[in-house]
Amino acid sequence: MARTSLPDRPAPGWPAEEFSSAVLPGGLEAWVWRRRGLTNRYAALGARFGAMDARFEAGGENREVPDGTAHFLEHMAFETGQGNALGLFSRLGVRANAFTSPTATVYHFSATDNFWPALRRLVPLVAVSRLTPRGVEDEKRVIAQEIRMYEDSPGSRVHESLLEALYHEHPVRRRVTGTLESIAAITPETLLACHRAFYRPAALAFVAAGDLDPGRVFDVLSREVERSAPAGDPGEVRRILPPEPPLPARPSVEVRMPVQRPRFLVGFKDPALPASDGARALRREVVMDLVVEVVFGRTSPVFGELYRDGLVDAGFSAHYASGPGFGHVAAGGLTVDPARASQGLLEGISRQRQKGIRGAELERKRRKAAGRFASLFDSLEGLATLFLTARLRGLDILEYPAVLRAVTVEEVDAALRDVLTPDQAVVSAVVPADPQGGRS
Amino acid sequence: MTAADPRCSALPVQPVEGRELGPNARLYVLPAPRLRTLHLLLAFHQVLGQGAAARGSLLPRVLRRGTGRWPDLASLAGHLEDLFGASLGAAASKMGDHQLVELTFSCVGPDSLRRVTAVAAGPVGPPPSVEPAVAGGDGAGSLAAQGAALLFEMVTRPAASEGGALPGRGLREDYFREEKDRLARDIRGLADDRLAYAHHRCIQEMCRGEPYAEHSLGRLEDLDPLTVSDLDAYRRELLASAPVSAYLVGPVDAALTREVGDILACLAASGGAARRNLPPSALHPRPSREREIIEEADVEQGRLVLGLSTGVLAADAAHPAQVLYNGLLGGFVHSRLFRRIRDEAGLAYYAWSRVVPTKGLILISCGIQEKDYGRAVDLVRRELRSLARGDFSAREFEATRNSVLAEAKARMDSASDLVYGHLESRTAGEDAGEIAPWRRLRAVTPADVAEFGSRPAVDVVYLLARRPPRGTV
Repeated sequence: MARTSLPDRPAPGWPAEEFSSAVLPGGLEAWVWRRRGLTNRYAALGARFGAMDARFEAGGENREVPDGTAHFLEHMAFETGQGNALGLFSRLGVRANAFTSPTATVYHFSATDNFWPALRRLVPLVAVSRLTPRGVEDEKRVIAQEIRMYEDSPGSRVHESLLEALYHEHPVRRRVTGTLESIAAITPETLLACHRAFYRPAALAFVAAGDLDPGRVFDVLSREVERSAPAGDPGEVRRILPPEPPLPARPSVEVRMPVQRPRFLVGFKDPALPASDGARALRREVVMDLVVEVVFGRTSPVFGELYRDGLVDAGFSAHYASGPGFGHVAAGGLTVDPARASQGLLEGISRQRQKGIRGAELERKRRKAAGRFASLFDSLEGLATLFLTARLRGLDILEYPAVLRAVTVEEVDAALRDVLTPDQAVVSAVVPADPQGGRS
Repeated sequence: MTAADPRCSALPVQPVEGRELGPNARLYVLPAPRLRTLHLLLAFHQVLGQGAAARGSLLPRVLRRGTGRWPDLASLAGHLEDLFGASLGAAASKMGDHQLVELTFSCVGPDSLRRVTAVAAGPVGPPPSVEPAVAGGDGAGSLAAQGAALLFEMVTRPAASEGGALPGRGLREDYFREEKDRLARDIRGLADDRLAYAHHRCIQEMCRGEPYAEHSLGRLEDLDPLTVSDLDAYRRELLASAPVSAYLVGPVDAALTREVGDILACLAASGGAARRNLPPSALHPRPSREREIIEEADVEQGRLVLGLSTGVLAADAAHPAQVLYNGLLGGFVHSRLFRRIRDEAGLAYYAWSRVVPTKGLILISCGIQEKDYGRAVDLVRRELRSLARGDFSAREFEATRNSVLAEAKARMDSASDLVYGHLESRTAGEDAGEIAPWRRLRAVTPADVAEFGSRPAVDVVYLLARRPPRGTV
């Protein structure tokens, strides 16, 4: 059971002091966050295969798969010879689940007592042992219900539309679940090809968290990887990203839905393509989070004005999202009037750009961000998941406090001026289909 | 593998230390050195009904707008930033027949604060607004005490008109008007969240005439006539006569406990003997007959909700068996509902059930196509009949017991789970000196569950769908 420390293991000191790492057989990168005192224990295994991986080159061959393939594979991983693996975990008193994002698929569980038997069951999941035509057809009906559930959600619809308007070609605009039409085209062969390409140990990353002995976690995991992880090397796997113009595809998009209350989201496409280097990508995230706090936070003039005018409510939120080849800010929520709300937001942003960001303002945001980061250490699942999804992108969030401390006001000010411009902006709205609705 | 792991972790117990703040006003301290954040909750209890819900949900929204010292959202948010990103919440929630008007505050604990102060300094040093007591290495106690002071100020000295912040000056008219409009929009928009709306409608139909039928946001007809002086009078009434619960959870020490207790005692002292106790949340009566309610909406997915009456409240001897029964029925992904409706029939993406221990109800919920309505209801009924016969295996029972115990233990890691769990048992008439729900759960036998199995009775079958099918009941 050869295992080695990761070469980029961070220096001791908070918060890295609670984390251990190892490289396990097959090149699997594994981490343990030893969080003493808590009753719950958590483990997650993630693949660098998400909804945006629709085109890739594996074993010298180009492939294009239907939208929703990564998510479909996630569902099928729970089909085993002994029935649905979700149920097998559950019988141990262990809550297992999985999620698919644009960039990753993550399988995870939380356990109080049966952590070790559950850990032994986690690795076989990614072996995806049962891909029968019958099983695939049956699962299409379940996923169709999941798709319909999101179709009824105005929050999901306004966000999906925003991505479709921000990006011309970049596959982050594809829906994670796919559509009823796209999933119809998925076959066992599609799923098998993706599985071969993306579920090798060297392409996965693992994290466990809780009151755990790291050495024992690595040993148990090593044995399981040797026993059941998918074998065979498909050779080099490369994501194929189409060229993406720097400006948005459309300035605005509107969806009509049978709802009472309109919603809006204003998006800004980051013209700086995200760095492939993890340290620089993390720094960009920190800088953009601070921009978002200054411009859209509860202390900002633009939020105050929109709130007083009744154009936004307490649920208004803003965030920065990035990944391979994409990056954007999105801000919005419920409103009485998407046109006035987005206009007000854009005008407020323009005033903020003229004013720039002051040092004292940034220090307060830095203080808040540091406190919020420290609070994450009470959220076993939250921090471990954040840690893993960052690792899958090559980002080390244990460096977050150091980066937060190092970021300068000039950097944050420059990012505000570069990203939050009218040219980069897209307005997405959900409006009531019935013209009587939504007026209040 | 179905047996519990022999190396199972020690069963955790959360001590609860109570301190009288005044008549019917108590501070509960839950010392949890394992946590790194501190949490405060201040709640006023009232009975729902007679229009109380609308007032109860509007008041915290107005209070959240500002206080005497921090008179608007921006200055209040700035204050929270100075307290290292502390969070402040103000909301109303429904707990059985009661409504809680609640204010919450969370901040980093002492250990984390020491680490954070080093980071927050940044390349140009700390901001000028930092008070030495807060910036110092052991200022976390002060952070939470400042939180208690802030909650106290929110209810006793809300932002007042004419720049004055004196007690007795009343609430700001503009804040009142804006928040009233906002609440009215939220009430009108309830149906936009299809799942939550379907649950609400099922409960409303099932509990017609009971306080629990009311939505926590309240009704438009009660909100409309409210004036700013009505709401301020209501605030004073809460201060003077509503029962008060306060909670302090996290890595606390004696000094902090005393400090927070002293601040909140000032609040409770204002009420004196007028503070009355509330009757516990009442049991939902057994239905005389089953009803079917089908409603039309332009939805992609139909929402099916079944309301069952069980006759068992949290404080009753049969409640632990109720929790196990629910676990067998639909509490988990190995449970009957998930297996039959999703795994075997492929009718739904989600299918589950949950207990409402403050009313003696079980709710069953799944998202289906309307054409599958009859089939889904049949599958549910079949499982209810099977469990009523006590028809479950030892293996199934053991699996459910594992899951129920794990869930109870996992709640020990979450400050909000601890607080709301304790509040919920108190609402149902139980006041425990410690939190260890696994203790009663562990003693449940298959025979107890089989006996409980005959109690649940279907009360309402509710469907929200695009093309309502013909009824089946």
